[in-house]
Amino acid sequence: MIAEIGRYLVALAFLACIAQTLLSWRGADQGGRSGAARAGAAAAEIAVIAAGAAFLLLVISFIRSDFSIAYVAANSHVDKPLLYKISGAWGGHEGSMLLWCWILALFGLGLARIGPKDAALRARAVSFQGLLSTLFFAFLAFASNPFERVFPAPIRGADLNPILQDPLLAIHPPMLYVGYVGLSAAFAIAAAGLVQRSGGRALAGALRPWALGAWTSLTAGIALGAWWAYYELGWGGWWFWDPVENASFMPWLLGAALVHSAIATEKRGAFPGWTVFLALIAYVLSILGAFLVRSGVLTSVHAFALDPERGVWILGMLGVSAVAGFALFALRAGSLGEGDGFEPTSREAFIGANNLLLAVTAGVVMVGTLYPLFVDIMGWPMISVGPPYFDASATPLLILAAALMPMAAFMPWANGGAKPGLKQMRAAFLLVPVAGVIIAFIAFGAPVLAVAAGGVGAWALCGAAMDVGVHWKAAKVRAARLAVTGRALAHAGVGFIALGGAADASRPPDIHRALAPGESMTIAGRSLTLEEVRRADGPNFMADRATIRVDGRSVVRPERRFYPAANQTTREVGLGSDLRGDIYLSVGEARTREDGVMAYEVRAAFHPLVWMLGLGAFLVVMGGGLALTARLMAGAPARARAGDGVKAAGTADAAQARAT
Amino acid sequence: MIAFTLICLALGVLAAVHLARPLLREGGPGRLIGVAAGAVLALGALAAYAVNGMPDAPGAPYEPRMAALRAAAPATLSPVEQEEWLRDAVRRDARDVEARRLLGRYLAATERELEAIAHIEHALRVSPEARLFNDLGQAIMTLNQGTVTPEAERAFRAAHAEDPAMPEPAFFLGAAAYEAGDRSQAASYWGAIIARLDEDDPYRMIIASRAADLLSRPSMGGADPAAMTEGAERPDIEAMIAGMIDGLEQRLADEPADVSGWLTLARARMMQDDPGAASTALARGRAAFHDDPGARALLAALAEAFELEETDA
Repeated sequence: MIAEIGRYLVALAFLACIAQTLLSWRGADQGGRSGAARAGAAAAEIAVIAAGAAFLLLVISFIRSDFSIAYVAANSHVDKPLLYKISGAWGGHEGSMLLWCWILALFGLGLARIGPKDAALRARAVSFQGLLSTLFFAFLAFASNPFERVFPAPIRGADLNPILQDPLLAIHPPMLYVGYVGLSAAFAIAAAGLVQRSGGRALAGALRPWALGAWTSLTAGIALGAWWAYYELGWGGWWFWDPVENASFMPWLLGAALVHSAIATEKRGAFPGWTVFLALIAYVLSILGAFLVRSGVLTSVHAFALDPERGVWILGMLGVSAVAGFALFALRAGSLGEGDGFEPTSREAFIGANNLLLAVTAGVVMVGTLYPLFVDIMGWPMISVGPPYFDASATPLLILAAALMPMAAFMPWANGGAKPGLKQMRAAFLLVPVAGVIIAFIAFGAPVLAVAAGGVGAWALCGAAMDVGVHWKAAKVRAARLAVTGRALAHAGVGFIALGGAADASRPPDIHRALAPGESMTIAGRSLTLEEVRRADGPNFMADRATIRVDGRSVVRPERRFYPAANQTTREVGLGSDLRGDIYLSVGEARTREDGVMAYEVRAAFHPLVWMLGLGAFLVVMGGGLALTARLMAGAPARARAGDGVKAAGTADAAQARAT
Repeated sequence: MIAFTLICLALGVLAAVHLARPLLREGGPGRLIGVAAGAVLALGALAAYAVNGMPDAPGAPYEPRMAALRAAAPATLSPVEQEEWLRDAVRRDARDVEARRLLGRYLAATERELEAIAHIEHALRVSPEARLFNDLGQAIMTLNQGTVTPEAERAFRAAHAEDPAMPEPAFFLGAAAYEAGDRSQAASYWGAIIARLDEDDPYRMIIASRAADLLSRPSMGGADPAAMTEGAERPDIEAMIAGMIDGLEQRLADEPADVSGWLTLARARMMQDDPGAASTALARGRAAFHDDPGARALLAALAEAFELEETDA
């Protein structure tokens, strides 16, 4: 009965989304404060509660191992640890789509409760969000229902893909979905603003916190995925330019462009059309990502639903969203107004250049990702587009964007003046440590791009430090200081990522050896001794665990696991980390060497300064979070302006304007 | 079904009331819209559910299903259910050696050797029995396409040490010796088993027949037969083979304590279409091993395979 109630709740949420769309639209027509608008918000509540309850029932079905539900049977096993039984609820296509829909509904409710201050704009945005939710709930209810039944029910489940049985993978998808789906709120506000003819500045102010929150979450989701790939997939990379990674990277790039462009639009009225266009296309690219992952057009470690019929559904949703958004944009872009103009050396110009580079990079990534599909459709000989293309095209653009990034904070708005800005930044002084880093990379024999990325990373770090040093004191209120800190942290994070990436690209070659217990090998000047290999079975896997001593001191324990239910073998990497980087070890199967000795295949790699990547991502997320907090703090008194007077709001707004 | 209907009705009505309330409060034409919206929500949800819904379909959570399986007689269960029955027994008592052993055997028989090995090893940690070592060795062999690997041989040795009377480990140890080219050691293992088993024991006949077949195959001493006969004409090849057989007979006359040699000679004579010489070879072998019932059984097994009368040497 639990499964059937779950199915009914999905249907109820679908109908509630339709009601949300229609009633909120009527409510917006009536000024946003009518009973219809409130009923639209109530519909959003119903959708959230129904979808949330359905998701809870799905989790319960996983915990109870109810294999009469096809999705549970395909993604769970009775021997699986509880954490992975629970995370299995979003480990496959149908369950993750339910989670996606629930988050969509939550953003609908969020818009209804804390959305734009203009009531009509808010109701219209809730309506658009309802439309987006309706599309996905229809897909869920009729083409991807996680409560589909199977009879006779198998006694055993097929188990969740073992590489997904990882604590990080339990939180990576929800973070990613908050990012993807959060961009729907920016889309809904942008579309609503076009219908309402709200004007560029008002729209940018309304959508900026939603875009910032979504982009921050998307950053966290991508970073967690990269970290997981680094230690779980066993070949030591953290970014492969895999099509599905690219599918999340494209909205991330445009989201980054959006959060910066929205600042220029809100503060100075610059790029109003561009900001709204970015808000629309960023979400459209999120749906494109869903299409790539779930349609079966791509083969990837991430692709988890190989079903062309579903692909057609998603393509339909993509088409409806894109046509609705861009048609509105084409018809109403003129209502967004124009900015006050700016000099080429102003902050707007730097933000514009940054946006251009990020957008071009997104385009380059999109071409590289979709071109093989195009070739396939045309029936031409199959090709694959891999890292050489992206390293040659996207990476230089990103390095250039990162090089411009620290300077923007020192450029004045509107009238410009690069010289005083760079003087305030002490740019000439900062070039000394940057040159030092470049020389160090050259001395280590790093490739050209890595040298450039390392230099830019150091430049970004120095710029971020100088940004805090110069602007923090100038900021007089807490919100402004938070905003400065957030910006500096995020930019420093980019610097650390560039440095970490550059160092990792300069790493020594991996070593593969067949080691018998007691034998040693050396990598990056460190001695690795295989002490023993023992059985270390888990609840649903069998494992050989190697004990490898590094330099006679610390111990690293990689494992080789076999998951019988899934009939799959995985390598659990062992990491020996310190400030210099990670010793990365994986152990393979035992085999008899040519000398007749039984030995284990050991793969060793050294990833220098790889911790900087993690720290960088953490700082970007922290920076985004602080910037969002600052925005909300500055927004709170602004909201009170109507009732409590102008002074407090004026102070906060002015402070934030100075800071950002 | 009734409970499900009531729950869905209650949920639908609650949602409809929650949706309609703001419009009902507003009064005027909004009321009608509110009532209509609420009704469409509740009925529409039921309709959308009905597209693929299965209100009569019961849930099948694992634990109640296993409780029912536990209560059932194992013989009435399907193989998949029996396997799950064993898994359940192992889950409830990780030290249940019998369940692990049976599960291990079943898994090995269904080509899931790695898991089978893991279960047998678990059982061995609790109870190091000969039959478990033997099962382990066989699972390792199956995993390696029938080759007696050093790991499998270790398991068979352990089984043989625990219970020297157990036929299977000795048979596979013989197979290991045979694969290593040590025919006399193989014959010794196999002969010893056959000697221990009763005349009418089916294992005895199976082992004797298999061993006789293996031990009677010509040994080229590591040389490649194709290379040896390359470029030679058929009469030359036949002459070469005849010479080798005569050489073997001569060697056996000098060193008669080689049961494999006698078996090979008898087989070779049969290949030369000379059953009389084959019978004679077997009879001379029996004479050489008159006090070794195992070796005699091997010679008898080959005689039976070739339908030869037992004659005196």
